[in-house]
Amino acid sequence: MLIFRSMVLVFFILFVGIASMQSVVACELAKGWTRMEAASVQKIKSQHELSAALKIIPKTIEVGEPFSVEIVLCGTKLNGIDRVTIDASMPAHKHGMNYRPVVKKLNNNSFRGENMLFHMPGVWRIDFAAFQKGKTSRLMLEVDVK
Amino acid sequence: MIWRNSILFIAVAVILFTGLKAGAGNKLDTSNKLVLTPAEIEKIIKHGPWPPTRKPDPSNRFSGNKKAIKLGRHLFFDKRLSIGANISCATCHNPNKGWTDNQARAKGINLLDRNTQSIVNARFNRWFGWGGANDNLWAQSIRPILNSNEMGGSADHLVKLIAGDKDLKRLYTELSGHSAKEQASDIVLVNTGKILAAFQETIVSPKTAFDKFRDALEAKKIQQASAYPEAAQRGAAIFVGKGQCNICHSGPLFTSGEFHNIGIPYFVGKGRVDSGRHSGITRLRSNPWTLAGKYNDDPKKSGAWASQQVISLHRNFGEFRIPSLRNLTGTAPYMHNGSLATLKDVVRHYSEINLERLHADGEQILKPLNLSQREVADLVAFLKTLSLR
Repeated sequence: MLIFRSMVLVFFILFVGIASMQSVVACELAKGWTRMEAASVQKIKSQHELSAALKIIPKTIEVGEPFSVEIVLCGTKLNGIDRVTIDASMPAHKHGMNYRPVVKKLNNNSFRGENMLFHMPGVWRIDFAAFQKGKTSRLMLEVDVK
Repeated sequence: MIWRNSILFIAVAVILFTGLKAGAGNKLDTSNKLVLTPAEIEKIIKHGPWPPTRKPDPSNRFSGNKKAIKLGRHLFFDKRLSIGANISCATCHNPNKGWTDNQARAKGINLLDRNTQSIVNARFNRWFGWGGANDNLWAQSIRPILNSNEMGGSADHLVKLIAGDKDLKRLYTELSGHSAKEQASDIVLVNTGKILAAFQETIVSPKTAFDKFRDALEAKKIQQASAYPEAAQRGAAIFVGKGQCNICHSGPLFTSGEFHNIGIPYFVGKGRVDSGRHSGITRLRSNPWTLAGKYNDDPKKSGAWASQQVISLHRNFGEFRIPSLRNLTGTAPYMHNGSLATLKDVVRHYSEINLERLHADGEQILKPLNLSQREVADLVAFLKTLSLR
């Protein structure tokens, strides 16, 4: 009986584990897409288990030339996102962009930030924030612009 | 005979291999006198090719039109555009002075606060003027005509001028499809700006010694690249290395096209300041001639995003547009207020920059370069190769 109950418990734990793993579906990265990281460098704790992939359009960022980013959220907890923001900054120089990108919702889980412009070469940090029922998830990606 | 040929072949192969090995090292300073590292070469190649592809300006219906270019050239030198018939565009943008006036501060009807910028390569700009109050060349061409301190003209004055001159009347009507008298004066004003812009678009600087050097580097023609003076090579190395000048003076045009505070004073008189980009954005917000406005001929309104999405920031106060470094030698004096007389003075400014003049919340990029006399000379030698003379 004890063995049976232990087996049930093990199966239950495995089931819960697998179910929770599936609740945040990993991004399947197609060519040109890069996974974004939790914005831990800013010590902002992500309150949602959110992951995302980002694509830069056109593929290469040229200094002083506008470009767009597409961000696809991966995971099942996507209902009820109230608002998203896309921004970028240059941590080493302590400044952001001179332009505020227009953020468009492409569908339930993907967004486009249009007309971003990096006016200097160096490491830039692209920030994405999703606001959902009073909670915020922040993701980032660092890119080195030559 | 075959044996001798084989020996010769092996000897050539050894020499080539040795040469390649030397090139793969940290410094390429061999007998060919190329004194740059591969990393420096990679950065230098980013400053070309030159010139960029010339595409017609979709916002200007007259862009690339030969008749418009001809009329634009005529109007550019025509003093009757000013209210007193004594000042033309060429008064400040003199082709014999690098399309500037070589004065510290421009003088139209009255003395102005800023240095005249060259119109060479203006077609490639995103922003125009030191503060970027315009986002297109035809709007920038309208501005001095109307400014009471520059030419003091008006839309009505232009209508009278064009309608009253036999040749201008004929050429204008041919181009616009209507006589100036048939059109509203604001349309005549905008068309005049667009015709002037069509002419200015043709003023593009040619390839220089730097471009030939840069192209040779890209094509890996080491011997050809070695013809570039060694002092200028050392200057180029400072430009993309220790000086980090290429952070702002980037790309083939040697400018990112954006704005920066470099510690040049912006007090212009008792109780008056030139706030630079700050006032530029303010004026842009109420500017009827931006690419987002009704006078843009491009149905797609491409380029309109910049004026619509630009952010006004506290640090914009005292920022001025980063000028191109091409065609520099004929356009002295330098900086937004013409306060530095020579290229040597400009380099010294960055070498000894006073950080207390910069915003505490500004971009933290500049620091004194503490260049030696030879480094100053090398950087100047490099800058001179971006011009023909």
